[in-house]
Amino acid sequence: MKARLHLQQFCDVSQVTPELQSLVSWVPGKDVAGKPVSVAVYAAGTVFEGPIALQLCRTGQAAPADDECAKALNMTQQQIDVLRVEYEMNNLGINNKGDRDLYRAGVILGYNADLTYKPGPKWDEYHAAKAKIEGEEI
Amino acid sequence: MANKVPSKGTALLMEITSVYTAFPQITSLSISGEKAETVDTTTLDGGASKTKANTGYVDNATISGECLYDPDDTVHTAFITKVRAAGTNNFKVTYADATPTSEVYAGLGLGFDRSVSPADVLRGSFTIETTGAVT
Repeated sequence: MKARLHLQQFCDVSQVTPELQSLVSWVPGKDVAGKPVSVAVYAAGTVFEGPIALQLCRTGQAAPADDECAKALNMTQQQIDVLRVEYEMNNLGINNKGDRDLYRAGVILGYNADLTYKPGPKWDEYHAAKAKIEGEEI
Repeated sequence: MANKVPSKGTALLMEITSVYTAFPQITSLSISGEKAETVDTTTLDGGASKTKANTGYVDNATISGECLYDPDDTVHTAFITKVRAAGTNNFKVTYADATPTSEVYAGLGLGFDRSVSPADVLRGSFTIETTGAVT
């Protein structure tokens, strides 16, 4: 049973078992004191095997990579996609209902550090439509 | 210079089978109680002002928060399983600062309360006591 990760995910090295060792990668990060350190992650696209594959699919972190996993998951592609988008938002800390709708619609990609939105592919289209409505109201 | 970092974008991640997994549908999050422990060192022959000293120990933080509870959600279920097994688990908090800061807490003494009301959705509130150093 296999599943492929959608996003890079942090890894807790203290819980890594021998069969997961080869999947761990290291990326630059910083510790709580702000000092540069290497941070353990599972890279996007990493393929997990065994019961963990099904677990990762159920949280929305991964998609089935073989028939056995797809059968065990018993979800349609649309359900898998919805779960993936839900997980992406949780991972980015997008908890506000309005912001979740904007993310789902492709208007935003998340938040910048200065409280502003990161524009998504539909950002201009959304604001053009919004401006048009506001113009008509005046 | 200190920046204004938004609360939005802050995520709580729970370690499940070594993968840090975002805790879903959080509506509020609090990390409180981390404090350097002190001892009263006032003496009978001292001045009017009482004195204190650090003991060298630190009281650990407690993580608490509220969420929209989904009994079918894999992470909510995993959390409740840990509560009922009196288990320990690592948790990671990631903030939305420019170079995202993460803090890993060793959690134990987990708790999860649910509230059900006709005029509201299912809600849950969770507490995580922590032990040892934050890394």
